[in-house]
Amino acid sequence: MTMVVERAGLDELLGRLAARGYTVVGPTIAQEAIVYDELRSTADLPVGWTDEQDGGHYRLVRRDDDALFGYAVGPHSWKKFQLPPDVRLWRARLGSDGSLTALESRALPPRYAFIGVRSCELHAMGILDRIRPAERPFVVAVNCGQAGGTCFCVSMGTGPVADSGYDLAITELLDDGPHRFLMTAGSDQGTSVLAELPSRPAEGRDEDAAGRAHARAASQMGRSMDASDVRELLFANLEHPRWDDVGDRCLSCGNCTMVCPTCFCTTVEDVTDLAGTTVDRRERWDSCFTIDYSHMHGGAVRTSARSRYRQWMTHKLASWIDQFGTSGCVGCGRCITWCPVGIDITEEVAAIRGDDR
Amino acid sequence: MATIADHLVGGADVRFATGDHLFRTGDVADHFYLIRHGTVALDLVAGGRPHVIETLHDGEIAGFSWLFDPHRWLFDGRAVDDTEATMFLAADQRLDGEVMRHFAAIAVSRLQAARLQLLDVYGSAGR
Amino acid sequence: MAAPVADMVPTAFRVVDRRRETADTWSLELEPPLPFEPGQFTMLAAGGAGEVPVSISGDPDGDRLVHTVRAVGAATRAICGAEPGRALLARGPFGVPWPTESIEGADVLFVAGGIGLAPLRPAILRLRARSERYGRITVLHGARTPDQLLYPEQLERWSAERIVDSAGPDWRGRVGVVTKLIDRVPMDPTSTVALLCGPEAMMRFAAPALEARGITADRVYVSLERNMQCGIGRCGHCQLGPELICRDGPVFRYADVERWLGVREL
Repeated sequence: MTMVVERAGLDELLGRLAARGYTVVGPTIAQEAIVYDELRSTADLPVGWTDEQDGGHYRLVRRDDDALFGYAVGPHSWKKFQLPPDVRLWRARLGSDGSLTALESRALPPRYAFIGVRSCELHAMGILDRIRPAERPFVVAVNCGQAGGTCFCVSMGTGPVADSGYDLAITELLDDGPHRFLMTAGSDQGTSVLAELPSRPAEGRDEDAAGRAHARAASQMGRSMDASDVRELLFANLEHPRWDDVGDRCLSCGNCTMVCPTCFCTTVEDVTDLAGTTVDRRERWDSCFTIDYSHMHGGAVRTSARSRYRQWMTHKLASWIDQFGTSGCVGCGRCITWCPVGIDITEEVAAIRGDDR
Repeated sequence: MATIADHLVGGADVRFATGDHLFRTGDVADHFYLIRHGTVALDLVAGGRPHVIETLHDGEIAGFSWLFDPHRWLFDGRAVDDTEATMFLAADQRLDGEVMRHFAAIAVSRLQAARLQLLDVYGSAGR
Repeated sequence: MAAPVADMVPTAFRVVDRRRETADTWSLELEPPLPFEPGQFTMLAAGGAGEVPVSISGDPDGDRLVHTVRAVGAATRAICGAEPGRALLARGPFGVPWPTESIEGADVLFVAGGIGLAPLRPAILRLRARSERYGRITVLHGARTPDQLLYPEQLERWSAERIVDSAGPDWRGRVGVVTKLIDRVPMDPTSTVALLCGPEAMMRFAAPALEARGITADRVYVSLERNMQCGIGRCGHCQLGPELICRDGPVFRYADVERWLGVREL
């Protein structure tokens, strides 16, 4: 059953989720970007803002309306919550004979409600869940009404409309008629929450408006990638001269791995206190762009930026399929936007394929 | 498949007891050996102590220095076991294409092996 | 929900014997034993000093958990320094083992370079214990110098062929590259399967030597190594192309990984 809710209904939604004990997180503005953080009400959302994105470019720009979700994705992804950057897996007391006692397991993370999850992000969450199963959050998805400058979800088959994996899905409507939100439930939990909100059943014109918004988003993709044969293409071209070209440009800064919603590599460390009596095993985000990442006795395997960029890109688009059954890329475009030199994964694929671009 | 022995002229059977030297570093190299049975160690003498850089076994040729200037042995050749060999004189050999090709092949394979030994793969360099 | 993280919690084992094998290599014998298949490894740590992947090197049907470790850094030095009575922490066993069952009936050629003999030893012991199921079993071992040959008494018992890169005049054995042994070992290549383990550079020239004798890459198995941190396929570090060494290996059919090993800096 598709319902229509107004902004007050959304505030009611956030309130109901908080009352059910969820930590409610979603998009908000901080440090001139749209990031994910705790939300108390819809006033915390980037109301009336949009983002201007391109290779190595991100700016917030004022809209001429009060859309709550009128932007694409920012430097944060939901992996910030699913796979936190620094986790203590366990802590134990270290005996003088090297044994462990009093082992405390990892503290349970909060139960999250994610507000404003885009379709590409739903796919990313599903991908991560295969590698790092975790408790499912309550998901309020948002179907995009406009695309970002570096988006290519259509190429990757991951959007712009959410088809599964959510409890509630929203399409924001404001162009034709009053500012309102189409809402559907995707689970029993979602149905039960939706029933508590002030709403009316959706009418034909609401559904039509939503359809137009989705189509508009799909037609505005900033990038595209022919992903049909990319695995074979990359494995067959591991010594292609294009790698030298991108290797010259890549700074090995690792931004792409930080903003990518599916990059999951972590480093495992044992940290002892000064007295050496307590040991923590910690898991922290790592990046294949660091020199140490491939370190073995004798040195690193991937000493050149070329080889590290190739590792990242072939893992994302090719090896991932062998390892986990799907592509690792969801077409969100973050790696393009947040690369300081604007390296564009879609352009690199096209270049290796030999397309004229 | 023709072996090197098919292309060698002459040859006298010789025997060495354990510890005997077949040749010494710096001696005139006007002959070489085909090992029939036994083991010959090639020793590099450095810092007073000999270092075994390779052992040669049944069917292997010991000696290439006869082919090129300055025609002097580069290593010591020492019998590790009682060894039977055939000694060939440099002066008797036909240095035709076939012979050179066989010797070149053996030299290349020794070179490759020596390079691999140099890699010191079991040490820290071996990834 | 806690299940994946439980694999990150180690179990303590007590050191009951510590034996120096070479100048920088020790074998630690631990109790209680841990059921494992030859070729598997544990993530081993001396409390607080960091974990390293170490192949299990003892008898799979024995009563001890044995690891042979080379001291090359802080974590391995701490492990090698653990005296009897101390605890070592291990997670595992992890990894795809040597195919000891699927190669029944074949002649088996073990080729071990340096400390590569350690991950092969459990397979050698298993096959010798069940020798009626296999054809001829041959062990070849290459090391840097005679004092770096591993498990000398066992090598003797196994009638293993030994070769070293260099030696002093007291050495009565062979000197040269391990391929010299491969080139000369008596065998019927059509019925032989080779299990090869050692530094990657050594495996890269030993495999072609095996092929030159007629043992094709689909009948050669190797054990590979990469930077491993979790051992369970969740940290991403140990990738070689599409393979996750900890989860899809460390034992691979050479034919399946030859392509990736040949790519510079992959």
